[in-house]
Amino acid sequence: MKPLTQRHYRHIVLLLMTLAFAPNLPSQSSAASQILTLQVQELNSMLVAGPKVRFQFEREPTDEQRATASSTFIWTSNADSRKMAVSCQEASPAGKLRISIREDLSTIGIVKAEIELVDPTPLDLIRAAEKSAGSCTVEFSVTLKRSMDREKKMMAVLYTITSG
Amino acid sequence: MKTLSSIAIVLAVNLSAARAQFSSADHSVTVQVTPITVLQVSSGSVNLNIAGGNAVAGEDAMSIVDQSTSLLWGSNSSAKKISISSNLVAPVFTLKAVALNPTQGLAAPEATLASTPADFLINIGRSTGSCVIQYTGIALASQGTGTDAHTITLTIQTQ
Repeated sequence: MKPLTQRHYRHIVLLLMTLAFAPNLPSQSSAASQILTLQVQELNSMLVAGPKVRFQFEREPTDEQRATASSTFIWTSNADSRKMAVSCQEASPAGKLRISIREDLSTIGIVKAEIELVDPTPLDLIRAAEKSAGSCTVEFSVTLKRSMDREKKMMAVLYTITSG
Repeated sequence: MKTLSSIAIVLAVNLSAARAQFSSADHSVTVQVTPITVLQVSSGSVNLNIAGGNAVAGEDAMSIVDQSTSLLWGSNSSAKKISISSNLVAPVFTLKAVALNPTQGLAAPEATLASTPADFLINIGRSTGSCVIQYTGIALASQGTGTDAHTITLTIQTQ
């Protein structure tokens, strides 16, 4: 057998060191981690309680009659500077259809006192609305002149929330 | 490598030669088991997204729930619990977590994640087990839009 050289001794030392330190190798971790991303996108949600609003007029009307009704508008929006607009889906609605909000919403946005729907063009009822969730009472009034036809008519009112 | 094998064989031969001189021999064997704890989550990342479908008109709070992450653990020490924390000191939105259906131990009440660790599972003892991590993200309309990026840490600790 050949005598051991310096290179041999180096290998032996390395082998012994490995055996000596093996029990001291770090154990498995007692902690675990995970990356979690919570993203909130812009959203707007609304509904109108009681979608059908009825107006009833007298059989023998005076020259002009006015009837009122109300509905509840409910919303949630997490975006700033939103506006709520209203439009009538009739090209030429019978009579004058006016809409207003009963409650004071000045803490939420700039509210128009009353708007009159004369065609499908959307009109702003609330502007510069803050991020909020809530509800309000929307009051409708319809004024009919005696000369107008007395027939059952249905009109759709559209609410939209957009930026502005 | 060949030289190393030669050395190992030489050492083995020498030891055998030494044993042949006696009909029996004994020596002490010490088996030492150190405290072992191990923890693993099923995925390195999870995304919670609150979008239009999560909002209810008139309600300020919007939420989303995720149950896609499983937690596995093992411990050979008694009186252990698992705690949970987030690295975010001041997140914009609320994030909660609770353990579902743990196979060992007891689930702690649902916790709002903060930089201070909260109990997640208690009394896990000497056991190996698993559970589902249910995360709930909550945002208020008044908080607007945005993103919170958390690093969630679960730790086995002494109870």
